[in-house]
Amino acid sequence: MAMPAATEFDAQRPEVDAIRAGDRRAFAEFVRSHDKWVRGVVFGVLGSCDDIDDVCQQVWITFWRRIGELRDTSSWRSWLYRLSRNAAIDAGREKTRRRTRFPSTSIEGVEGQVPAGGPRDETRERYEAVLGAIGGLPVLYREPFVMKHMNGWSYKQISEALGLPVDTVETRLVRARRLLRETLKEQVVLGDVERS
Amino acid sequence: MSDVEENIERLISRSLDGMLDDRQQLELDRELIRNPEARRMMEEYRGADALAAAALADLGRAGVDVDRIVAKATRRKAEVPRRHRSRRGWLLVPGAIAAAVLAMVVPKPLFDGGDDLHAPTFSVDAESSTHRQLGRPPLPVPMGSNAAPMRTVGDRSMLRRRAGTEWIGVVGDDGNVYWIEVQRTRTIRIAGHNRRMGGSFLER
Repeated sequence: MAMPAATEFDAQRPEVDAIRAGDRRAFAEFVRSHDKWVRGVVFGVLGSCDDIDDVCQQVWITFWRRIGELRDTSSWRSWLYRLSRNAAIDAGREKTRRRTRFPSTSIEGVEGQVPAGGPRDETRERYEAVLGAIGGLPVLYREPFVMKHMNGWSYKQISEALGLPVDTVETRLVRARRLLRETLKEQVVLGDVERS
Repeated sequence: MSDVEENIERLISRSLDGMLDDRQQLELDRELIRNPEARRMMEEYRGADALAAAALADLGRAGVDVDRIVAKATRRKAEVPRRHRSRRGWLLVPGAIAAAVLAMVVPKPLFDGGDDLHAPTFSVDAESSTHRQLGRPPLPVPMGSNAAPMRTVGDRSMLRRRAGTEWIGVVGDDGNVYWIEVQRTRTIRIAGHNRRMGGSFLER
């Protein structure tokens, strides 16, 4: 699975080299710069905020520990993408196991979608509802949708990341939007926004 | 949903992503002017998109505690060698258990004559010149000798050891020391069978 052309991200390459050399400050800066899209990838796979902090933390720890294995530093982004996606998939499996083991425990849903530190009151409720609706999308629609909206990737970048033709990405985005619009209309969230 | 609606939906989606070319933009504009349903769809999609973008942006803003992550990651990296050692340490436990079980289960081959493993387990009666191994058949005559009876050299151990090999020294009546090389291989370890049957690997 390839990611956006390496040249687009070569500006980050010295930073990656510094991290490889063990520069903690460069690592901290790198986490600050790229944590957002890593969270996007994780949320795109998980569809929930329940474990997102833990998974992201694990991703970065793995990144630091295994950066030495990255031979071509120009491909750091696709490598980080794979780390994030795999960590999220593993977390999702673990979540499923937990749910099987403790079926009475509700660990998914709209409640608690927005992590601590997020907005409060009405805005928070609305965001929870929206994230819940996004989280409820089938993963094949959710992933490109989150990549587009959270990470701002182009169709081409998404298609390379997911290993799909550009047309397929576009179709999935259209369907994701359709499903989301229907869900938000049902929850009257969309009407609220339009009124406000 | 009709084909027309699907087409409008696709155009709206592309428009929201900023992916429309001039021809498509013109087509969408025309639809929006003449079709109120298209306008309503456009508004709803735009609203949903804005909400999703805001919620996801907020999710991204929540972020992680970078300092904590850096501290954790770098600490773990430093701990790697210790963890490896620790894992090896744990391997010693099942290894020791396996060795103990093997020692109990696998019969000892030849040198089973008591606590002193450095002493040969057979004795040679120098007086009668007959070989005696306590409760065992007579010691065979080493190859190359002239079938002369053997004896040990006093109380001194004539057993030499090296990893995987032992030499048992016996002195023949001709005064020469005969060294018998014993390969301590797995085959020999199960030679307890020979012992039970009254034989000895020395016959090989």
